[in-house]
Amino acid sequence: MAPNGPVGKKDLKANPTHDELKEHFRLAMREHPHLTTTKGPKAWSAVDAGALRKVDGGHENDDELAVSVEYYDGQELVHRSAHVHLKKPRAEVTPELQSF
Amino acid sequence: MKKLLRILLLPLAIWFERTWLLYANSQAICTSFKVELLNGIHAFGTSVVRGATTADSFKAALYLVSATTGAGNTAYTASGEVSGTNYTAGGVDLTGAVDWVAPTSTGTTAFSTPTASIVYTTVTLSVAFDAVMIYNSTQGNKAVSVHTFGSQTVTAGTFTLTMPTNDATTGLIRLA
Repeated sequence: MAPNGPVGKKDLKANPTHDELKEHFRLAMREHPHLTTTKGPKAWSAVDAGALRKVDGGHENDDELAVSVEYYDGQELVHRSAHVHLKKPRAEVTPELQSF
Repeated sequence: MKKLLRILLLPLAIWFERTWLLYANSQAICTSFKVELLNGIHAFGTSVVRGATTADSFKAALYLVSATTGAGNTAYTASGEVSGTNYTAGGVDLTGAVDWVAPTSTGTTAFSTPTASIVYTTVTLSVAFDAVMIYNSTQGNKAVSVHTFGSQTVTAGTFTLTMPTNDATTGLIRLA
């Protein structure tokens, strides 16, 4: 089971790159001995041995940096995790002042 | 004659503007007030009874791409919220020793950001979602903000939202 709360004990630095985010995500997931899947936990050793097919994904734009990892058992998706780093939220309050 | 007067008086006018107008009053919403708003100090209307100075607690709920959350929300709503294995309605608590970095300001902008990532652990959310609502669970689940991101799904996995840099241009909550 992955930890409940902040991912891992390795805090991301501000404005991580895509690779840093992927590595942070990878280390956080590896903190526990099993990968959770729809078919129950899979030991990481089995996953490393090629029991599951891994697909990395993600995207980056001005607003966010996203990383995802998927594991397939054959054609069946059995695990998908996603990690989104908000770069600059678009919500901002700009108060206005009225003159008398 | 008028032309001559203009030429002679122009430097005087410039000197006056630079010397005296620097000391003029300027209309503004005080920056400290914006920080104090985030600290719940000013009550322009009916407020709440507070037994201590402890900060409120906040939660974060996820919303489907098909939901319509936004500026009009006044409180947490289950309408349009995601559902799935291991996802509890209402979302997760903001974690960390304190939920938010102490509000502060740079220039004329007050800002604050959650101290920790928002994490949904070992969930299955198979219907696409693209928004998180942060709300005040201490004060009747009153809505704070809605933040959108690229559409995601999760399968027996973890969804993590890491926070932006806490500063005047990227802090999660900013009063400019």
